[in-house]
Amino acid sequence: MKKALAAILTLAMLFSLAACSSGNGSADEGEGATEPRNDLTVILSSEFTTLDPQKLSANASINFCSNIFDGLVALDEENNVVPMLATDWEISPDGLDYTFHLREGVKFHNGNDLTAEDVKLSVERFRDNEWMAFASFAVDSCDIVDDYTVTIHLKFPYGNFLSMLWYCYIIDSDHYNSLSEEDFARNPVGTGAYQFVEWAPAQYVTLKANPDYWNGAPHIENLRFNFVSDSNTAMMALNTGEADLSFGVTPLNYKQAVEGGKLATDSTTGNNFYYINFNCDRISKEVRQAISYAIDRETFNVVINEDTGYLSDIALTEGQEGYTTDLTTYPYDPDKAMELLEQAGATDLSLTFYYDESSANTKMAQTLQSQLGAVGIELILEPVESGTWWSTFGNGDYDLSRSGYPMEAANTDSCYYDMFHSTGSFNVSRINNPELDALLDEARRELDSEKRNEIYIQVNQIMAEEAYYIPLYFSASLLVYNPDLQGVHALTSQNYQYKDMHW
Amino acid sequence: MVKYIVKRILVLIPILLAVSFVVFAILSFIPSDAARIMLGANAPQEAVDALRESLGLNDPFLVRYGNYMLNAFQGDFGNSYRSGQPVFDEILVRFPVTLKLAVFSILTVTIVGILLGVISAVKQRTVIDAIVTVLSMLAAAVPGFWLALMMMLLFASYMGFLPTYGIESWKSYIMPVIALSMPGIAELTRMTRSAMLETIGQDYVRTARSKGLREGLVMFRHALKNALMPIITVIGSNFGSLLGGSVVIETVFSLPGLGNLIVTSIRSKDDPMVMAGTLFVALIFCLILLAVDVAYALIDPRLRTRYVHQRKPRWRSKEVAAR
Repeated sequence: MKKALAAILTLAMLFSLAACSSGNGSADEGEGATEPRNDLTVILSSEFTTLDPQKLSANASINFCSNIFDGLVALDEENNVVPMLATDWEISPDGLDYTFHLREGVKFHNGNDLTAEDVKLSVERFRDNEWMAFASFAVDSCDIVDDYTVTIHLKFPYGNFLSMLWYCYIIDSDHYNSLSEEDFARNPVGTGAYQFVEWAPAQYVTLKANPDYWNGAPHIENLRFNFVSDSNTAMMALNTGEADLSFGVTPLNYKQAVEGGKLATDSTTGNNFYYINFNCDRISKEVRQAISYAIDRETFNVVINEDTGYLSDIALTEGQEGYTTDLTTYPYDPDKAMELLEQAGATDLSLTFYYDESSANTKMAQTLQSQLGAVGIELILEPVESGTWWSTFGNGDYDLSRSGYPMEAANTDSCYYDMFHSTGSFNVSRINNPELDALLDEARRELDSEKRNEIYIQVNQIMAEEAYYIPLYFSASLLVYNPDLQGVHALTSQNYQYKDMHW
Repeated sequence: MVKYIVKRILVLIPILLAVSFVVFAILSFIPSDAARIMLGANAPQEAVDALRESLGLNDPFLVRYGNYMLNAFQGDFGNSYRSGQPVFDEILVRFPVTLKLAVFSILTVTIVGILLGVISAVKQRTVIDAIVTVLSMLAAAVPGFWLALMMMLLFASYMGFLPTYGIESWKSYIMPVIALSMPGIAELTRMTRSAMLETIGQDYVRTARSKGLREGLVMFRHALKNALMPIITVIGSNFGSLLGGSVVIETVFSLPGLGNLIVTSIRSKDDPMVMAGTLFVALIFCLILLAVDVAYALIDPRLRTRYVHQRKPRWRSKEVAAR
């Protein structure tokens, strides 16, 4: 027996010795080098389902692909539309036809030239794939004028068209035609600053610099994107130097990084807007307003986001069409809430809160329950699995619910139409206000940005007055990175361009 | 013996059919909208409807099940809703990772568990026995993710000789294997201890001792060999569930294993992936159980004679009773 024990102990010692010695070896590599590093390891919190740029389902993969692909246009950091593969464009007076002149001499990663053929195929796939419908709903068809000119025809004059066109990445038609859909989804070839190298499913994707990039070659040669879904693990990897950058850590981990002081951090408003929905079919305006006074958003932000979120009275950020501070607001005032409830004759209220279960949403539900409880409203929590929430929110069997919506940087229309129009596909508040519908319809077809701005201000004022929903906050866009990394700061869109980063 | 194995493999067919039907039915009756989950909050309703139609989600349940089985029999288990790739492409990428983890873990469980169990049985009611018992209870009680994070802090963050995540080198497997083995070790230690205690008191052990055999030989040759049946059952069922993948440990260490894949697919309502994944795991589990049964026969001569001689399959129920 003693022999056996001794054998185990010896083995264990050998094991740890072996591990120690090889561990030291790898540590030297990182520190001994004097030349600037030529690689960057980024942590992504979820894997892509595909790298077919017209079938991307999540913002994370859309943003990632902007490093491999270019669109005809792009949005700059101030959300202005800027030329990319199109150098300039003309819009017909009726707003239906957009003619783009393509940049000449641009090559795909496989050496093929960019021509109108490629753009036509890309626009058509952009229009036909359901994944892109949120951005391409106005596109009707695309015609080739000559090798370097195309015209995109719209179904209706859509003033916001260019702000959504950056979602249409341009693919190489020869490359596409030579592969099956399945293989195409795993072998992206674009004109972007980085070219695709390898995708190890569920592990990582690697990219390498495109030295001939038309818009200037990137500084860092090799990029590696590791998929790490657990935020604690991501933080440890950042701490040990196994990774250099992550924009998917939880608010709690972010705070730890700020306090730890070893890693660089940055934060700005994110583009996901969170709000609590009233079912307006069931809850009257008076009660909605009363409940709005009972909500202390600060507490929600602390409980759910560790105080990292950005409180907002409106689903827009400054500079966007319709942004205004001239609104009815409902500051936290439980006494007033109770008074209003009494006036409305709504005492002894019992309401249901229907939500898709996740740890953040459970915290939200419990906070809401306690805040409503303080003004005498009983809240019954009805958590469901998220797919179920999606398929049944439409039948309206709830009093209150919650939503989060990925807002567009430069397009108030597409989000507002979805969220607040009576026929909108994400009208969780079940708003049915003919005046509001008319304004939203008018704005959708308005070509002049100034006029749209005025209409949306009106829309926001009506919605705030009616208290259709309780605005909470924009989640923060959090960034944790290696302090030696330069040329990086938190972006609202999280559309990070690795070509600008350097050591 | 061969006949028995063939028969057992044939029994797999109705089992897998039943599994497929139950899982398909459950997936179909979840009031969840795969198309909406795939396209997200900002997709127009028409796009969602179009996608649902093209995925065939609007057909009645039995039609969909029929179509699925028809294709499955021809070896086509469909493409993942999420990635559009054939489902087994992804399963076969991930299975080797799960297999490696499972094999390393079950080896650790077997060696450590049996050793500790034997030690604690031999030293019954001593300090060593008490320590082993307390340790095994602790191992059973400690949550895997916590242990994983603590190990990560110690070995990766402070000492820096193990990687936090990934599967780049053999070192990446050390922490996950330890975390995965803990509950198995605890179970096996307790099982070995009680099985050993039963056999240690038997006459033939006393006989072996009185023959003047060395104590170690008595324990491992005579006592342990006869205590093996429940031990093998525990090892078999542990191995089976390890092969199904462990969601928590895979997530914490970012390992591309099966458990992670199946759970992600369930969350995103990726029905073809869930179906294929469950069927695959069910198949593996059945095969392991078969291997355990065969192992019984190899160890226990009484069972072996039954496999070889008896014609009528009556022994099945007796064998179950004998366990």
